[in-house]
Amino acid sequence: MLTTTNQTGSAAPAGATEPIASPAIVARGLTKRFGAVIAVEDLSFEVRPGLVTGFLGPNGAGKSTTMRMVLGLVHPTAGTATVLGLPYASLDRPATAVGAVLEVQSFHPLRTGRNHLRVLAAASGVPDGTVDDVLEIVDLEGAADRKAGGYSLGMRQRLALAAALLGDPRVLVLDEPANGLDPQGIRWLREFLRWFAGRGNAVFVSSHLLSEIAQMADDVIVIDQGRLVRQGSIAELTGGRSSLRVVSPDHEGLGRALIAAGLEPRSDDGGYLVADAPADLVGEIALHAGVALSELAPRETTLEEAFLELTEGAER
Amino acid sequence: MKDQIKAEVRKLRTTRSVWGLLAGAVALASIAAWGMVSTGAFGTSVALTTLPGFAEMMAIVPIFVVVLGIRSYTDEARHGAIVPTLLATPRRRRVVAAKAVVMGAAAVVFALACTVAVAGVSLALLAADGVAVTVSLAALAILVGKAVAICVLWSVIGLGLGLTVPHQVAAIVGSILWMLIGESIIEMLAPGVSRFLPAHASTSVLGIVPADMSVVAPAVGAALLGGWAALSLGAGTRSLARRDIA
Repeated sequence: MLTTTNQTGSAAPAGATEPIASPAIVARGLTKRFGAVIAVEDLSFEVRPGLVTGFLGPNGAGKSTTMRMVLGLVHPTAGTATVLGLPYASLDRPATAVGAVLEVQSFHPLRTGRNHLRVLAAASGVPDGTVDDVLEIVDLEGAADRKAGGYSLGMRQRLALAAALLGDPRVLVLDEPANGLDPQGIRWLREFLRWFAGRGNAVFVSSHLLSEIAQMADDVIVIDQGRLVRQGSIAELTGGRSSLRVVSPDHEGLGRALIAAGLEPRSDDGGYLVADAPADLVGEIALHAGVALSELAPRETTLEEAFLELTEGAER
Repeated sequence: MKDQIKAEVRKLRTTRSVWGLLAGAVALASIAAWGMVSTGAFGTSVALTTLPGFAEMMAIVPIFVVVLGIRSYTDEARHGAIVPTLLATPRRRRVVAAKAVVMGAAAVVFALACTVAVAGVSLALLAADGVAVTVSLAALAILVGKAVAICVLWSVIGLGLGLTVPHQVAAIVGSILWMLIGESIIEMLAPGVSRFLPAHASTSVLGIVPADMSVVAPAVGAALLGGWAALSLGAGTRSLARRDIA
């Protein structure tokens, strides 16, 4: 279990906290084909400093491939990606620029957690003392001298996060980092990422847990089938898309009346959700159709609804 | 580059199987030396550097350093550890160069440890049999130098193989079969060709050549083995540079 004692960063490695002025990550026309399969197509987006940017998409949407292209692990078929203004491979000391958590298993199982971090500290040109600092931040000191192959899924995630923090980076790129964490661990991670972004740094985090992204992200990038569906703040994504929940004892009659009036009702727990329609219009439609209403209430669109609507829209 | 070399040294030192490989190489070389000395006839006096145990040793130790070289990349690929390695050092040629330097250094240790073991076992057995052993320091230095050079080149061949064929089991089994029987089969089928192959070149460099083996001159053998190492490392570097770590 992660504790929240370090969430304010008291144990964080000393280092830069100057806000980054320009976008932390810029992708322009990123495309990746694996043979005949198009994993990512003409994807452009920006990740801004000081914010947590959620990266959403169904499984197989191309999120991991995109992150790996940003980090120079996968070669784009076309397009470019820069981190702090440079292609990843051109960064002088990448560990001080970007920390990444990409997969749960990224260590030799017979090496201890501490030795794994010492190897990476050497490769990153970071002092060995930093290893203790990052172990403390992720609360893994007690298990540091055990073989990493025996770690639980949550401990592996924390080891990966410790590795990402070694260089005190300005940007964090995390692919599904909440996988394997217990609820306290997820809460700690959320608070840590908010704190990290609050120092002027950038966080680019993918997740299939919409509720998680809704709680931690400021901006959201939604992709589906390798293409950008939408980028914007959570408010932009869910706002301006108010819907009404409307319920009638004559469920089918109400549905017919709404469709006849040119609206697009969606079934919702015994009633309908009607997007972008004022309440008085819906009331009038029901009155003219002679359908009694038992509920007519505004409903704020959740991120999940917006996401489903956007990705379904993309499929159409 | 200094940072990458330091990281590779730490990887080696914290991987127990590396020590197992070293122990295995020393043990097998010692057993081979014991077998050759105890069954040989040496009269009353023999020169240390002409003992057949060294030829046996150099048939065995390259196999171990090839495996060591192959594992340098394939271990990381297999366990996903290559991801943080390439994130820390995105210039992949630099990673390969650091691995080559450290594998070469490890191969020096393998060659020296095995030479000492073979010399020790041979001297002990011959002394017990009352055979006088003459030691020419110049000849010994040449022998050790050749053993070291051969092992270094084989470790680089192994590294290149591992980078080119990242499937660990396939790379290790394939290379061992090649070294043990592959070239012998080619020698039977095409004796004119086999002497240009790496294991034959390696034997020609050492200069202790079995009577039925056709080899090139030692200097040509050294150039050939160096060429094979360069070819393997070049192919491996190119392969890694183009690979998607997906």
